[in-house]
Amino acid sequence: MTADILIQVLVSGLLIGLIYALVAVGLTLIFGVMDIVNFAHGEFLMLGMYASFWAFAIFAIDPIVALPLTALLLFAVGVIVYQTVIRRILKAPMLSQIFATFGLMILLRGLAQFFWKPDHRLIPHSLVSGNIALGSVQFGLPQFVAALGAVGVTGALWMFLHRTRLGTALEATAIDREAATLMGIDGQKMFALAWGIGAACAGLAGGLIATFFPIFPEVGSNFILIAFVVVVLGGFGSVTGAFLAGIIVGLIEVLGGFLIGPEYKTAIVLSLLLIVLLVRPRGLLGKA
Amino acid sequence: MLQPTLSEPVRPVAAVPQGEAMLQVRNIQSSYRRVPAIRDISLTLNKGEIVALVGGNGNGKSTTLRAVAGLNALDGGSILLKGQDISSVPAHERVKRGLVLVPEGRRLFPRLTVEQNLMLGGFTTSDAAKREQTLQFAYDTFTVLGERRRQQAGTLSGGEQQMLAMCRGLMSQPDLLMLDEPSWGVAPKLVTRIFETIQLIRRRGITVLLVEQNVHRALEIADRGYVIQTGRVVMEGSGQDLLGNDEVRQAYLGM
Repeated sequence: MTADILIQVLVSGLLIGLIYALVAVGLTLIFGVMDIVNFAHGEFLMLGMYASFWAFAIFAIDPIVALPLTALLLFAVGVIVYQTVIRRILKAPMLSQIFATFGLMILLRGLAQFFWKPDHRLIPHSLVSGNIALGSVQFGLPQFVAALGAVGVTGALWMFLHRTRLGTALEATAIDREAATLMGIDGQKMFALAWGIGAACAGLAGGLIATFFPIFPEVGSNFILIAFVVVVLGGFGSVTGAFLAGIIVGLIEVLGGFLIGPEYKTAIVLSLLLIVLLVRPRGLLGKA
Repeated sequence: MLQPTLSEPVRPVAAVPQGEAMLQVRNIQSSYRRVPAIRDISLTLNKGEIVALVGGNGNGKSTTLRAVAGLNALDGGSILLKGQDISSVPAHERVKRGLVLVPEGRRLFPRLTVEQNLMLGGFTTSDAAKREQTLQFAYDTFTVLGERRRQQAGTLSGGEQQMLAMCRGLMSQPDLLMLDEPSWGVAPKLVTRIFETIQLIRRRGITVLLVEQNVHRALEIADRGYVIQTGRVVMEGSGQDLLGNDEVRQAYLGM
């Protein structure tokens, strides 16, 4: 094995890892703020991809240009889902909460199949297409742009949570909802905000992925399983943890696939999940 | 002893001149997991007073504060703040109206910094200059908070955490501050500081409702006190009267 190949593998792993991170940060944010696992998160990603597709097919807007619109649209979807479904199950038993978001997943997939057909669709000739070669290392421009986007979005989210009043209020709600209420913070608004931001992150991920990945109603399942691994590894609720864990999972997946065989890459990642759950169940940066 | 019967009829509250009272609690009832925690509590706090609630553990003191703050729902009765009925106002809205609870166990945000905790206390204050002013008061009064403002709140000592919690409660410039067990978990040499601070808070024109296990010290600084037993007010009087009362001394002061 030469150094060139190793670098190629590491770069590919880093790029895919950053995309996993972007899908996972929204999921971990929602969980961190309200302890609800959103099984429909992959479907938010799917909606983001379709939003990009239709923006391209109907208005000829490139997915990258459409990103702000996709984010805004998915923010609205997140808030609507919170107000119509999640708000009613806040105090429900955990099983009801799981079934509610699981049911939402099936509903959104079904609607997508019904309205948009199960066909695989592609966005040809996006602004970002083709490959970049740096010496002997090659990677796709869309993947590179998506990874950059992931860094930008995660960074912006971190800044929001740690450097703004509203973000700190969201963080405070995540730490102790009742104490946050005593500060005059409206928990309901913060929950709706978390869903909006979480869904917007998934939408942005969808918009970025749509430049190089086929779009179909079940597309979310290709990412959501890995996203759960990332959330667990990073520590439930930790945005920084999800970011680091996404990179680690991406590297392990590509490196493992290269060393052992690509058909085993998912098995390798899921083995990692089992090891984390056994050795450090709270993840890298999770709350104890 | 202080033993009211459960069948005792609900007493009408003595008329209080409107506009004088900061807080009027009228015959409130509240339950925790369907078990009545407070059965009939009526209190009146005049503007600028320190009022103490005393009584043994599990008699409903904390529940009373939580009900006034809006964290626990009422089964009956009403709560008036500055003459306005706030019984159905949500808890976070009550902060905007000038009512703040510093809860039992402080409930700081441990992984946020001292300054972030304080700024959250001023979340309802949209005027940045006002927030800055109160922040400066906190740092001037407790220099240790200023020195450690970039430190995580969870790393402070018990006494420092309590001072931070009280300052956080002041950040929204409330009219009424409710303190639940402020000397809990505080080193004995700092307890005096806590009680001095409560008096300092009152000198800033803030009305204080105090629940405290340290009954003696609480009644010493309180203008008036209420004795609560099994969810009812069984006695009320000035701090000095209650301190001198034989029943109170036997029941709560071990004298």
